[in-house]
Amino acid sequence: MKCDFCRETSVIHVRHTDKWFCEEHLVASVEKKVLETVQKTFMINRNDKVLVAASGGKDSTNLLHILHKNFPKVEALFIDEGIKNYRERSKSFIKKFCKKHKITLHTSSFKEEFGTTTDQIVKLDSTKTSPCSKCGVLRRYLINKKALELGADKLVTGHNLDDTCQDILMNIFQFNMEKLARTKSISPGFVQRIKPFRRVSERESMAYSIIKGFESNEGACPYVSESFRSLIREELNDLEFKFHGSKVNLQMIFDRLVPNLEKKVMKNRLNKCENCGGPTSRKVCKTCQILEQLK
Amino acid sequence: MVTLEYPDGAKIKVEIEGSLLKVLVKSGENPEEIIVKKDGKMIAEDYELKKEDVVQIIKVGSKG
Ligand code: SF4
Ligand SMILES: [Zn+2]
Ligand SMILES: [Zn+2]
Repeated sequence: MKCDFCRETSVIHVRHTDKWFCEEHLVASVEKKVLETVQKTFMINRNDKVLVAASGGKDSTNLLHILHKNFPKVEALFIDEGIKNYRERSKSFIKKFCKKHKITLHTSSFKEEFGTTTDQIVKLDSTKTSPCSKCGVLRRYLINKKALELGADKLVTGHNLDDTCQDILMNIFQFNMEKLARTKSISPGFVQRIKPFRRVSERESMAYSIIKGFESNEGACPYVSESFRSLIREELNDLEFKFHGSKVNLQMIFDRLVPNLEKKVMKNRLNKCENCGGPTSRKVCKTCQILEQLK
Repeated sequence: MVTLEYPDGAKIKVEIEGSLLKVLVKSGENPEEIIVKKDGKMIAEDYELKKEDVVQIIKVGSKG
C-alpha cells in the first residue's frame, strides 16, 4: 500500500485513523498531533519555561524532542529512584540524548533527596505492598519540587493515548471515583502538569522513535505491578484491532464527561493536607505520610 | 514458512505465506501491539511475505 500522503511505500497502518504512512509522514503526523494538542488546549505559552519529566523511555524522549524543536525554553528533568540494573540505563540514554540535542538536563535522585532508594524501600517494607505505591508518590513529589525550584511554568509528562485509556478503565473497574475525576492539572503548590502526547498511541510513538533512530530504555522496571494493567492493555489492543478507533472514542467520551464528574465527585472530598497544603481526600496527604515514614 | 524473530532471540516459524497481517494473526500476535522490521526497515501489514522471509518483531508496550 502506498502512503496516504505521498507515493512512497507505507511502513505502518494506523488503525484508529485508518491511515497508511511512509516514514516521513508518520513523523509529521505525530508532531502535528502533539502541536495541535498543545495549541487547542492552550497548554504552552511561547514564553513558558517547560520542563519535561524525561524517564529515558520512548514517549518522554520523543516528546522532549518535539517540544524542544518548537518552543524556546524546554528543559529535561531526570529522576533516579535508585533501581539497580534499570535506571542506570535510562540515565545514560537521556544524558546522551540531551547532549546530542543540546537540551539542558537536570537530574535528581531519591538518594540525594530522601536518603534512600526504591531498592532499599522495597527491601525494608514488611507490608509487601506494591513498590509503585511509594515510589510513584515520591517520584511525583520530587518532580514537582524540582519543577518549583527551577521556576518551571509547565511540567510535561509523556502519557500517551494507551496510558490514558488504561488509566480510565482501571479506575472504573476499581471503582476509584476520585482518581477518575481528579484530572485537574492545576492545584495550589503544584506546577501545572500537561500531557501533550495524549493523542499519540503507543504504537505510533514506538514507530516515531524507531524512524528517528532514538535510543530509549524500553525494558520494564523490575517492580512494575503489571498484572492488572497488562490485562487491560491486552483487552484494549484486542478491541482496537477488531473495532478501530475504540481507544480514541474512549478518550473522547471521557473528556466530555469529566467536567461533570469532577464537579460531582470532588466537591466535598478534596481537603488541604494539614502538613503541606497539597490536595488530598484525607487529613494528611499520602506523600507526607510516606515522607514521615522515611524519617 | 516465514520466520518471526523476537528481541530475546526466540524464533517462531509460521506455516503460511501472504500478507504480514495474515502471518501475524496466524502466529497469535495482535498487530496492534507490535511493529515489524524486515532487513532493518519497518514494513506495513499488507507487505507480502514469501517462504524463507525473516522478520523482526518489536513489542510496543513495555513500561516502567
Ligand atoms: S514502575 Fe513502580 S517502582 Fe518502577 S519506577 Fe515506576 S513507580 Fe517506581
Ligand atoms: Zn508519505
Ligand atoms: Zn502533604
